Amino acid sequence: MEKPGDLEAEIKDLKARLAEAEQTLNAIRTGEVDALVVSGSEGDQVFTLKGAEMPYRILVEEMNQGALIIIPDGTIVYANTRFAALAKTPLEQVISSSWQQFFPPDKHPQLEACFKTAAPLGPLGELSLLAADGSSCPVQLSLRTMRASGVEGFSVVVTDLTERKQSENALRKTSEELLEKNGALEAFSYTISHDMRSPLRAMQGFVSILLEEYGSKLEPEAKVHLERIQSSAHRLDRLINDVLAYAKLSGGQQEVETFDLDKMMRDMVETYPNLSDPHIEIVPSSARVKGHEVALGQCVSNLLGNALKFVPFGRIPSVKVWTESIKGRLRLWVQDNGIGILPKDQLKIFDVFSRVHTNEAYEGTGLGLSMVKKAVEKMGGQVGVNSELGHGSRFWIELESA
Amino acid sequence: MKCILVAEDNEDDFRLLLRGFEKAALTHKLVHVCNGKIAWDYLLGQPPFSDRHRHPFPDLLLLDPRMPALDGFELLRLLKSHPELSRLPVVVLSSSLVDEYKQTAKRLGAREYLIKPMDLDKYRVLALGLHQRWLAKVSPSP
Repeated sequence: MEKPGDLEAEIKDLKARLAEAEQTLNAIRTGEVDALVVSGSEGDQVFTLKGAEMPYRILVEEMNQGALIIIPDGTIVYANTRFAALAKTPLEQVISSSWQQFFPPDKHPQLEACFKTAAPLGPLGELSLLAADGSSCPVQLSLRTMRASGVEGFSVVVTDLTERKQSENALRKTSEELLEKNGALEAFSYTISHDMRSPLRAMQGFVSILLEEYGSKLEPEAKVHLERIQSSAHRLDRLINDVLAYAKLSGGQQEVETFDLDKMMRDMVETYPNLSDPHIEIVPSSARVKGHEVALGQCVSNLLGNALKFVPFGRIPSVKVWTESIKGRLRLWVQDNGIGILPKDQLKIFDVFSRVHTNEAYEGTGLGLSMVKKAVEKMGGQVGVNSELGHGSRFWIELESA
Repeated sequence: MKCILVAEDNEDDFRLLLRGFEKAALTHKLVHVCNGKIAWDYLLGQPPFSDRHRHPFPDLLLLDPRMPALDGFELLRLLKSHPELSRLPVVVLSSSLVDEYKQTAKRLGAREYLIKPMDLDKYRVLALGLHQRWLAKVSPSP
């Protein structure tokens, strides 16, 4: 039976050793210790870290990545607090344990192969870091062989990918949602073009039949009313087409491509035969630009359509198209001899459904120029106009040169 | 006189097409069916279309891509895989300007993809064009 005094002495001694151990651990952590003793099969081994000066160790301790030093038999001889936090294991347990317990067994052969190769190793692929509580987190490893002050082994930097993975997933989710919305828009566009144009076609068709085959039997005023129905139906048709084109331009994701401006102009004139007009002069250009070819074709055709349309009664239209290089960008000009635009209207005309003139004066839907602006801005370009009332207008589209 | 099978769910559109042929002074027989399923039965000569005198095999099929029961694209798929019916010229007559539909129609073997006209005179022009391209030449009747 031991005396109480002996027990007290033993407790005191244990307390002192515990305090000493804590101090040692703290010293390791803060970089005040230069040597470590590891018990192995061949007796105790002493590892000194003379070269690792304190500021560097503090730096490693403070960094946001896990850091390990592993000796060839697989023992971890150094770990920073960040690694211990990632592994959810007390730091003193990490040190002197084997690396294997922190990585999935199926990755061991790959990692061992890396440890065996003497050459410096770059970043490894992604893998899981196993934590003590059974959870895991995605990490990326960067391995390097190191030989310093008699220590031979590997330094391993462990980057936590949890946040990156989360933002990657969020990004993927967003882009999937966008694709879905885009698909819904396409389906909606198709429904509109089919469902809204069908009854309209019937209205137009049957009004034509009435006018052609019963016109002679109708009173003049009845005929005028039928003609009004006809022109309204025609206008609605154009409106539907423009809304569809606008939805398509503003909704779709468009890849920016490099293309030949001249070829685009030729294709455009082919697509819109009304633009092969003797009053349009197109100065050939060898320029290549960055944008979206089909959309730009639509934009230029809208500008040309306007140039031919907004001409005072009795004046023969004269339209000229040419290009100009401005500091790595290309400006496409469309000049007309039309009615011109008041300064106060020059910004307004690019807004959706904005119209300066009544439909009786100049027919239109108020979508043409807003479509141009939207499409060109989607290609990273700009649009604008110089004009004076009564003296024609010069519209321009500016894109990045290729 | 040739026979044209028109698979079209919209009665108005069929009437306008009929007018187009009348205005073009063409006397082909236009047979109207209102979905792809009935068109398929007609083409196979299944009841109630077994009498080929009353329900002649068509020289041309005009097809609306969107119809109830069996839509135009599904019918095109069926036709394409059929040994004899795959030879029947098919023209898709659609109100959609969406390019994907044109591509789908072409991929499934349609000879042409035409947009339904918005006025009567263009229906006349359309009828004339169909006549010249698919019906004017002498072709063996099955």
